[in-house]
Amino acid sequence: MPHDRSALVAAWLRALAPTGFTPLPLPEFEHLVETHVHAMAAGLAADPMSTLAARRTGAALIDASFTDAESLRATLCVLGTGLLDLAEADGRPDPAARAFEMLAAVGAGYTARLRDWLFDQQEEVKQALQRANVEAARRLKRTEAWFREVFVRAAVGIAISDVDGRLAQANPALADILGCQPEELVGRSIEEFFHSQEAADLRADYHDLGTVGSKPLRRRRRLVRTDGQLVWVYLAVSVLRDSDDVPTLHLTMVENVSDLHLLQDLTSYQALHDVLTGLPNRQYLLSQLQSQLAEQPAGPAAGDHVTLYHLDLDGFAAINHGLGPDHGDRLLQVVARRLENQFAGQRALVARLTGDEFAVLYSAGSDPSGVLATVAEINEQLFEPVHIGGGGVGLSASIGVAHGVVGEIDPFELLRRADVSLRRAQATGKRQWFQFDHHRDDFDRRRATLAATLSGALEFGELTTLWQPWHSLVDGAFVGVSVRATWDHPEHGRIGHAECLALAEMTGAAVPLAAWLVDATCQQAGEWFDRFGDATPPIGVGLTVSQVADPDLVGTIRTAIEKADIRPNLLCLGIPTAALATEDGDTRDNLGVLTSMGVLVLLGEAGVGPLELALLDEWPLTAVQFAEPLVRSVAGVDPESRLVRTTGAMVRTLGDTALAVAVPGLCSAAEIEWWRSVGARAGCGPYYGHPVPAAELTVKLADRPARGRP
Amino acid sequence: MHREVWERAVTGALDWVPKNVDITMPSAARLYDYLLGGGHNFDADRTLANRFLVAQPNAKNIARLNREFLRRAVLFMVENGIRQFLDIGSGIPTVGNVHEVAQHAAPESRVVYVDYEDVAVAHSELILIDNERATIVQADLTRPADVLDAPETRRMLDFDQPIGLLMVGVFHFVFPDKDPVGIVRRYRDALAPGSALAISHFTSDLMPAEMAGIVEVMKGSRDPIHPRSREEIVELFTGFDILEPGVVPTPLWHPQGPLAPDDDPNRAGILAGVGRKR
Repeated sequence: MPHDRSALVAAWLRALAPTGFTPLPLPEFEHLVETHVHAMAAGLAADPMSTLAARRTGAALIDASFTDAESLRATLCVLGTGLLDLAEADGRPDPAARAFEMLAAVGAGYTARLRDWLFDQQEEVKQALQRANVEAARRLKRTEAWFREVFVRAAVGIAISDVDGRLAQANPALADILGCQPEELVGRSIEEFFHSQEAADLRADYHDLGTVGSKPLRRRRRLVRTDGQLVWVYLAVSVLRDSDDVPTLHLTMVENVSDLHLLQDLTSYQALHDVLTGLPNRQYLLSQLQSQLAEQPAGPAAGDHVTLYHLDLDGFAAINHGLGPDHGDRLLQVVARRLENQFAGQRALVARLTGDEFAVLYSAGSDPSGVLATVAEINEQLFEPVHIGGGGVGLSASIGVAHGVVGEIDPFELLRRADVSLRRAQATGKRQWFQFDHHRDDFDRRRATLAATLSGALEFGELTTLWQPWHSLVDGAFVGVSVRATWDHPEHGRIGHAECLALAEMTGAAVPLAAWLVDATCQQAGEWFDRFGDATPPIGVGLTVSQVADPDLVGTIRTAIEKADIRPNLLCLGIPTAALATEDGDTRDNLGVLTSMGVLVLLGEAGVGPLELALLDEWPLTAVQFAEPLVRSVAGVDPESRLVRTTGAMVRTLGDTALAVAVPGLCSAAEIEWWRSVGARAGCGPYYGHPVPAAELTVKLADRPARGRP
Repeated sequence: MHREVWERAVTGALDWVPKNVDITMPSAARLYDYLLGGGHNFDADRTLANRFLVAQPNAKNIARLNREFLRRAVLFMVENGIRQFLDIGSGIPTVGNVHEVAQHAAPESRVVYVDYEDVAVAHSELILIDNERATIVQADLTRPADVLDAPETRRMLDFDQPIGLLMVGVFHFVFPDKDPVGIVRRYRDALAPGSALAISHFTSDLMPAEMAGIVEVMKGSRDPIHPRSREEIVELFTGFDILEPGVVPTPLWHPQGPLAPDDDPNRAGILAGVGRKR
């Protein structure tokens, strides 16, 4: 019996195991099966028979996870045989019926438990599903809450619209930008807020977003507020697609950049505009020049012309002084408005550079003509009297004009050219204008450089003296000397006396140059006097207007004479007509003192006009020296011409007053003959020879018979 | 209308927000439950299971043998002193769960289940409500950091001690473009020496025709299958010493007795093995 039971346990285990997975470890599984076999055997043997154990066995199969139909089939197969054997073995009646009853109970127990088990599992999974749904909904709600919070609190305007542009959602920030309530926006078309000039483009942009692979849109655009005002915004638009990848919604982010806009504008306005007149300032002009002169795809074409007018109001300092700075400021404002009006509607920029200087940048396109008319109109505008401080003030301006060709000139150079032209215009007087000239510019630049270095050259001994001999026109005898400065420039070669003087006049070097010349002359005179005594001729020093006006001139000359220990009348100063004719106090004082000291004075650079004649009476002059250009002119014209006749008459007149007449720049015997014939006494020039070093003249002097003064 | 649009806007814009649980979409976890005789499944799962059974008539045995491998592997690890388990892709808590097996053998054992499917996770939470030494982390196994750095994982497991890493019947859902070897490596790097890795995996080495049928059936589901060769499965153990008897059909891995006819290794469909981290 026990043997049969253990055989049944083994057979059942073998049949059952492959039909399902049980979590039970094998010994426990075996023990379970064994327990149930014994329980069923006991139930079968009981009197009356009990099927309870069999029911429990059916249920236990489910509990051990043998839920598959195969498990029941295998179980009933094995148990059918086994239980029948057990029933037959106890010798009681109807063994088959009892065995079947037990089997039926296993089936019933199995089925009943399977039903409960299935319901339990379904209930479990339903709960799990519910729980999952609740969790998903909770997360969705939380996300939505976050999103809603972002949506409502965002400083950026957010709109959700359908593909037709109808607004489904709009946040408060957007409503604020558009000047209304969020609710008012829902249902309206986003396109209502597009600026009319941009609407078509924007609509296309939105549409393009729907195409596959398009990138989110980012544009700076204007929107029209509900009150009609424009607002600058950054639009960032992306498309939202449904699960089939079909575009369904547009998400539009709207950033208000108007405030930024205004601030940027204000800052740049202040940086680029003149506070008094409101005109663009120099910086603005420069940036405009930079953008206009650079070749740009959207800008002016290469080869186009721009014209820069640089204006300086004539005598504005005097007006400012006379009327007071308040009126001066008012005047500048009027000038600004008039210039603006004159160029209104043209491709021109009016700017105030500094003080009383203005500029007009005119884009002339391909035609740079019309400067004359423009300049005339500017001065016409300015001349119209401004009624200020109880009187009408008419203005004029000096104007420098420079042309620039797009792609060929840089802004600073154009500004410089206009400035140079202005200075040149101012040099010629008031209400003048000058147009930039390349050749003049190169020449001027070279001269400016030389002038700037002259003082240094003087100090470092680059300048030397040469001596110009004068000869008697009658017999050709050596009668006098004048000093000449010469500059052996390392780059520009030898620079002559006249040019040295002219360069010195451009800077402050004129006075030191005069002092240097006077000093050298006195020393040379001293040397010669020591050797030749009274036979020493006076030495001429030609001075310029500004040199004569130098308040220290007398002191300089006195010191030089004392240092060289010479007689003052060995020094002969050539004073230009313009200097002698001046009303300047210093000049008159200087000349007065010098003549009383005994220094000789001759009228230099003389012409043949009434002014010269008047001066003869006023000053104690020793001689008259004609200007070299006059000498050249006389030589070049018809001997019967008015100039020649007038000059001849002048020389004769001077001869009558016992004044010596000196003629420089003589080139031929014929010239000499003419001048001699009219009464001139002495001359110099190429015909007689060029200026020479002092030593050469020392030899000449030694050979010379004693004579009177030249 | 606008409400609907809004919700679509939100869910459409933010794809990390889980959508409502959709039980018309079959899940591999519930399919496995059904094949094991479980009732935690829905009509869609059973429909798929029936197609699965047509393609692979031995599917129930394959599921059972795989489940039995899991139990033996866990018990093997417990016998080797491991008391904490990380079960990746645990699925529906069906019969013979890891915590039941492990805690039956060693009550102090701690288990972290990992799955990404909403119902499986919710179900696991229900099952584990009263179990202080087991928990579930909802995460995608292909993002190891999400798993390893989850607070529940860190709370439950001590990474200075050996851990039993269980990847049973899961890597055939990870396609090559996700770099499965790299994924395992990142898990491995987090483990202490002496940790163990159990892998079971669908293979085309056994019953290739039926396997091709399974691949076809699962193609349309949320969890398509990519079976691997034995060599490819061995490669997943990189950094681990594969223990005897190696990577073998599930019934041949430490069998508990003579094999029944239904335990035919050639029809097991799945290769399995256990390795130890050096």
